[in-house]
Amino acid sequence: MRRSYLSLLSLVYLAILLAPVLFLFLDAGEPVQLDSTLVSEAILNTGLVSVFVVALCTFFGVSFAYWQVFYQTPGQNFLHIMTLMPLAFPAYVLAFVYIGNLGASSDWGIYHWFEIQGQTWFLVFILTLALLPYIYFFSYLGLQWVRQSEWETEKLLQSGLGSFFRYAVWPHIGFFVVSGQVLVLFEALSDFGAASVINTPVMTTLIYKAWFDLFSFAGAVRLALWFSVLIFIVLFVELYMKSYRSGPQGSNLDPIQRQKLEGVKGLAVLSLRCLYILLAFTFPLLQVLLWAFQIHDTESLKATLWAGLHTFILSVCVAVTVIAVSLLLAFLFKKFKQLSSFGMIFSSVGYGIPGTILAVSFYGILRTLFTEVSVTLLVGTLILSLSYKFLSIGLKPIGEAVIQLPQNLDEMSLLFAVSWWQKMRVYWGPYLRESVIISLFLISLEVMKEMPLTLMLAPSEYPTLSIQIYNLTSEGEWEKASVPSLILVFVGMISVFLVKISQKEGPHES
Amino acid sequence: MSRWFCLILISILAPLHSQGGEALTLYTSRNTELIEPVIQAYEKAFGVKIKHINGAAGSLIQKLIREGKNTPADILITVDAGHLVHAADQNLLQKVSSKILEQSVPSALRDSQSRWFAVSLRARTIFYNADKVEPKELKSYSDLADPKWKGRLCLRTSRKVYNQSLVASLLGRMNEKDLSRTLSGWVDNLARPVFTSDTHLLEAIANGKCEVGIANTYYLARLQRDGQAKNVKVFWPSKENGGVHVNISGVGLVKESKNKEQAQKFMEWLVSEEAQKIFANANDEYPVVHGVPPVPVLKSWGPFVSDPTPLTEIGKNQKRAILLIDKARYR
Repeated sequence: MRRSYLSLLSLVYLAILLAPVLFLFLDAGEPVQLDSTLVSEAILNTGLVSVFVVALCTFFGVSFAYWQVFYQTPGQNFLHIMTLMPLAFPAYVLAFVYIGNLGASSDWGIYHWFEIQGQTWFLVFILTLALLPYIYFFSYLGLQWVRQSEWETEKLLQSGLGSFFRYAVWPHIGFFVVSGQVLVLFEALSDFGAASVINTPVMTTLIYKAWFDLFSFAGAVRLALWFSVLIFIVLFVELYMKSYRSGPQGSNLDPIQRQKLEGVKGLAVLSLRCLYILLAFTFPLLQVLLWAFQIHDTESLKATLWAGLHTFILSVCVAVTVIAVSLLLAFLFKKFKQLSSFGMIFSSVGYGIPGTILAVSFYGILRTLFTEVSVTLLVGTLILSLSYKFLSIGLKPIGEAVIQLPQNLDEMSLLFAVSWWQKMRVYWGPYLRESVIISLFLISLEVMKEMPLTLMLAPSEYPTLSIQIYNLTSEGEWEKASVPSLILVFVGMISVFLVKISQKEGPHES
Repeated sequence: MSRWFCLILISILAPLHSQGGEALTLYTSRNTELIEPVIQAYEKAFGVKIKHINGAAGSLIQKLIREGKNTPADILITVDAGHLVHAADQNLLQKVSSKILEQSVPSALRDSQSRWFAVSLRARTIFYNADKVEPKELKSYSDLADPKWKGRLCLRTSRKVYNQSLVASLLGRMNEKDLSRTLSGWVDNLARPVFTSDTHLLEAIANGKCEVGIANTYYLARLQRDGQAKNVKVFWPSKENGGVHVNISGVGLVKESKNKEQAQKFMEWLVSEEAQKIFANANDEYPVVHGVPPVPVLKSWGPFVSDPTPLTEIGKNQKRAILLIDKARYR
């Protein structure tokens, strides 16, 4: 294919991916009448939360992974799975469990010592609990590459833990830790639900306030524009780094032999890990279960059932759309290999953009194109915007699976002159099935948990579980909010098991 | 498998196409359990089918804006005057010429251009723990900013529209500087962080966690009917001190309604004695129509003098109120 066509194709692809944000720059909105102190506070909070959450998740996530890989502790595998389990909890569920217990209405009187509502540090605490497993998991994968001989050498040299980490561990896990940090950074920047429950002003809650409390969509566009500038700086630094960053290749034939961790040190490590599991998973799960069992109101349960059905249909629609687009792009990248790495890298743009910004930009585009927006159009836009956000979750595994398809399959299908559909079903299907099924599940889960985009774009006729949780928690109805939360947590737990099962156990076992 | 998928898809997509088949469509921010008895009574009496779509008032207004001429909505019901004022300002509601509505709803409780009308009244007043506070200590909303209430006051979050409307009503009789001072005083006097619900706030007053607070009357009525919060009493600020802040559940006829006649009939029925009893009593609110008695528990709290600030003005002050609330760091 001629170079000029490829450039044009790349440009079109890039334009489609950047269209939502380009809209913000073209529209620009107008200033919204908000208190300047509140705006500065929201900007500062957004920055502080992102920095501290990434720092704390890195410190504890890497430490937990290090203890998991290098040392033997009682219940090692159980601890590993349980450290991943908080991934099943959306941050906003954790937030309302803690606010319900320790906030103004609690009987514990904890507010006498420290206040948690509206506090930035408390948002940092909740997001750290919720997001730590990302860095833990990535570090755990990276640490599988450290060799026993390197550890033995460092022990002989007695150069200290710091030196051992810098020279023997970091070269192996750097790629993984940075990948985890980027993920945590985007999650922290995008958080809307936990900040709403805790009542801490951040950029995402300010955008919502401008649109839905002050009825100024133009104001929301202006705020989203400012915020997207910050997001794009982070995004492009990440994309630039990603093009130079690569994970280790080959296999580790000399994996770490775990040592026993005994005495006070062993007890301290075990206690710390158990404390994390207790705070981020066990206590919230028990509390949500307890609250859910107190609900006997059939109207509320009926509403949850409907919201669950809407959520299920929405997530299936988004997952099917993402899979279809991912397959299309994956085969396009297979055909035009020059486009492949560029295309894969830029496909993650949507994931990095917070849901509040996407809601404003997609709705803005919709309003520009249509003077009147029907429910059907709005549902379509919601599906499209969610598919845009979660495209990378489908494209990454499917893209990798398509690239690995044996060349002779194409030749065989040509020989038998089969149709495209038959080719897909009979020849490629068996190779792609696993990645498609895993993507389908992970995308569905992300859609179910997603809050701001769904809250701002879903028509009132179709409340989802996350919308129901938002509405109930803003009225302090913790018990009623726990029923839809429980559904999300159980589906989340299945996905954690799925990730654990599908996870390749490390380079030495492959 | 595919049959099941089709069945589920049809059941979900069906409402998208059933909009034209209903006789009346209501967009309402009033809770389902509170609006359904009213709808059922009307359907039974007149044989008219009513479809209702529930949601937050802000979202329903955005929905009306989005749908424009194609909206299936005939009637908008909200639980705050500010939202009705905003909907009217956005040209989403139309004038209703109805003698029944004009005669039944006092002029202070309806739009001057007859685009919306109150259906029930809720008072947002001061509550106190009778074991700890003497009623003579209390005066007005702004007096709760006095240092004597330090560590004794409880408030609900300012994110709730009820408090935004209360502050907007205070703007009607105070200048911004004084109001800012009042709001800061409230924040300084808080015994606890702000509550997310009025029920939790009243329970905290009952348990002595704080001594005084502001809430809607129907929350206490519900608690006391269940035998709780018996030591919590209602205080009505006097006329000299600005009176009691009242808000409404109100109804407006959507500008693009396809069933104007039927919609107006429904609005008129809402102020009939039968409907008033169902509508107001379902949530322990005050009926707006003279002569319809409130539920006994409300009656036992005695009469009050309402804040004379017109609801339209309160609605228009709302954005300024939010700005002042944010400045005072009242979360």
